[in-house]
Amino acid sequence: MKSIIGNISTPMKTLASVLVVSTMLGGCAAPTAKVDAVDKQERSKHQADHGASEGHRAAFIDEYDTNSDEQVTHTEFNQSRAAKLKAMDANDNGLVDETEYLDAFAAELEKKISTERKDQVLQTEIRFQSIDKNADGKMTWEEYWASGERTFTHFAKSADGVVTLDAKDKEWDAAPNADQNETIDAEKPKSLADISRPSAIKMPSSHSLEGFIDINDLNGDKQVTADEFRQIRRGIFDETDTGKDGWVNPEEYTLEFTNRLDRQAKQVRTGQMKQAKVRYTVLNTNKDAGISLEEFNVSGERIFSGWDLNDDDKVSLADPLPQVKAYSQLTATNNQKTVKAK
Amino acid sequence: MCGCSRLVVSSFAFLLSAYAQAEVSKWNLNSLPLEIVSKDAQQQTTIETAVNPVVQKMNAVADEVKQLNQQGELKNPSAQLLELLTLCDQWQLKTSAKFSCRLGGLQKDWQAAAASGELPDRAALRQKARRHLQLQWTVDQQRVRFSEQAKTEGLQLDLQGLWQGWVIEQLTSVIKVQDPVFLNYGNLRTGIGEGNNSELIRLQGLEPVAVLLPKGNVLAVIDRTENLRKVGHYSLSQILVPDEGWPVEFAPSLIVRATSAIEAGVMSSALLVIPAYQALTNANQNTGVEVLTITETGKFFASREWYAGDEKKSAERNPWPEGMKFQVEFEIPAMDVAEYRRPYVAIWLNDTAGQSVQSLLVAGDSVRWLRELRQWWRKLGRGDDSLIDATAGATRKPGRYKLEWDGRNFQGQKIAAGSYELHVEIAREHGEHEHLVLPFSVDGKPIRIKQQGKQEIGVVTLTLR
Repeated sequence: MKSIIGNISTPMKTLASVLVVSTMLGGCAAPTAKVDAVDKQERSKHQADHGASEGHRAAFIDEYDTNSDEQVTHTEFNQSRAAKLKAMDANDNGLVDETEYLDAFAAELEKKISTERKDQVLQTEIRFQSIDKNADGKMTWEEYWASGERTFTHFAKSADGVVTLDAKDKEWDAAPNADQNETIDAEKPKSLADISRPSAIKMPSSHSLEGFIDINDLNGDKQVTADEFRQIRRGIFDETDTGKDGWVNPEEYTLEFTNRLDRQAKQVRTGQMKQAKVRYTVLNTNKDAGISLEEFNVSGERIFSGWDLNDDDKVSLADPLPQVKAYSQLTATNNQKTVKAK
Repeated sequence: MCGCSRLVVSSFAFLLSAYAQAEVSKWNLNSLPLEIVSKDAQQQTTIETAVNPVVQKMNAVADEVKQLNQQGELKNPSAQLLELLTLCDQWQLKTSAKFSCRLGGLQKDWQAAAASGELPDRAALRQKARRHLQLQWTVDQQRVRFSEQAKTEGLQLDLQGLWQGWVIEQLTSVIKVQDPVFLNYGNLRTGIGEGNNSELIRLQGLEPVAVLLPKGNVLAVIDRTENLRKVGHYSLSQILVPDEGWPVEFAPSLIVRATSAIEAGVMSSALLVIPAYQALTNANQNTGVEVLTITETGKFFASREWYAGDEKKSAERNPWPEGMKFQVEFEIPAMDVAEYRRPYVAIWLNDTAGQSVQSLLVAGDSVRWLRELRQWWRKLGRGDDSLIDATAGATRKPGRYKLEWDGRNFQGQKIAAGSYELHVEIAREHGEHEHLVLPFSVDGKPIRIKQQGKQEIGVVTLTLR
């Protein structure tokens, strides 16, 4: 798996604000009197706002599948959901107030970030080795340039071309040897293990065209020339070489990556906590001291029915995915793509 | 009087023997409680007489540290302070900076964060921590002085476990009584004199854990549910990873047993800031230190010699006669394929009700690929990050391997006779997934079972002999 050291400053604020806005507008809207009266268009509204991809559904199953059979029955869901609320209710008074809700959310978020972060850091060794072609423990400028040039040529179609959004071609939608996660054997039936979960940290990735341009567009004209690309890469290489000895060693490489990862995680935390606050006010429909089990279940039903599209009273890989146009730009099987806000 | 407080408690059953009535003396030493227990008033008076001047001296040394932190220098340092500063440097070197006395400034940043409710910037904190680890001081006859850079950076000494261990060592050298005496200071506890060598440790949410404590050994106990710091809505450990300046994540509860108090104190934080699997490997290689880690789901993982000496003392039934060994041998076949990646392998034991009993091997540590070991993931990996942290090691290259099991389950107890299953699961990228089950019975008799994998794994042999 190849990886390109991306630009240090990335427009992630855009993504965060898009999500916040969509949540505030749609969010988990006020419940109707009878959940079964929700009409078809409204049905997967939660998924439209929070994610309707295979990965999002896999994450849903992860959360509620108590007996590890890779599906969530309605009963399982109700029990799991009630247990979740109970766990949030720190003072055990039957209501989850804002502090309890946000404390629980922060703990869950932090766990996701920590796990993902740990895995990402473990992968840096592999990424370093794939760039350090002569395996001498030193990444030279030439080796680093070679790893980036391949991606550039892939998107620009030639070494001195220009990478533009117009060049977007379904066939070339991903860089060569993109993320390991994607090398799935097409003949094998998919299992839960094969599906990438939505990333908590959402590092911008140059494995997609949009991501590549986001990271490397120096002058903001939405395209990347060979010159721009070379400049960016050289800048990153020099900055990463903190020892100033002309090459990047594994420690420097890891340090640069973890710094970038942690800056990204920080933005994610801020954005996610904002959303959680909004979600709390939406869940606490009667605006009293906290979220009751009833209120929590109403929102739960909405989520469940938004996934259980074959109406077999369980959520599994057999359900069709929600076709929600509003979210189509954010929905992707490769969950590491960046987003352009319009 | 002694500047301490004394209590008489009845039926104080602890380390050494069940005293029908015991005397407990308490002191405040550098803002941490010191507790010494002995069997009667007369003994306790002897102890207090010996301990009081030492406590006084140590409080004075603690004040020296405070002054050094405040002013950046200290005139006429005591011999004890100089000793501590030397020990700081020695132990930072010895633990490859997994323990450091230099994190006081970072701790202050976290106290400020707790007050403001805002998390610090992690990247900035990392750089600061790495700078602080390098900061120096100079020592001559009349003075200890922080370097100019150290003063500018705001270096603060925080001796943590080293201080606690050093205190215990000072005290044990002055307490000379016949009958057993119990000391508890901070996270450390030890006994002086003969006793029944077993201590009951109470961790939140768990049944009390019986721990062997041979004479001259010291225990350090770190309960993962304690020492948490609230920063806004985040609940984080107070223990910082030295080269990150960030609270340790996935930390299990930890009990360290060492032959020296200082080593127990230092290793209790050094072993906590590395993945538990590494901590166990480390302890297996270090003859003076043993470790028990307890994951967030209450599973025990102990270093090899943790239970040594237990066989003779405990009343627990042995699943097989002493001298017999339970071993599992397996082979990862070499493969002549393009882009070969080492497989992920998990080997564990279930009882016939399907409950997992023990984990013997997890080769591979990335969650993305551990998920491919679907049976293992269902049974063990899923929802137990600290188990992964305690068991997952590097992938293995093709070859033959041998594992041994001591017959203990996840709670550290010896298993009962009965029927069990050995599970072997393997998955290779671009390769296949295989899952072998070898049923066996534990009834004291020798066992020899073999099973052949299809392609990803060779022969698996289970023997008890």
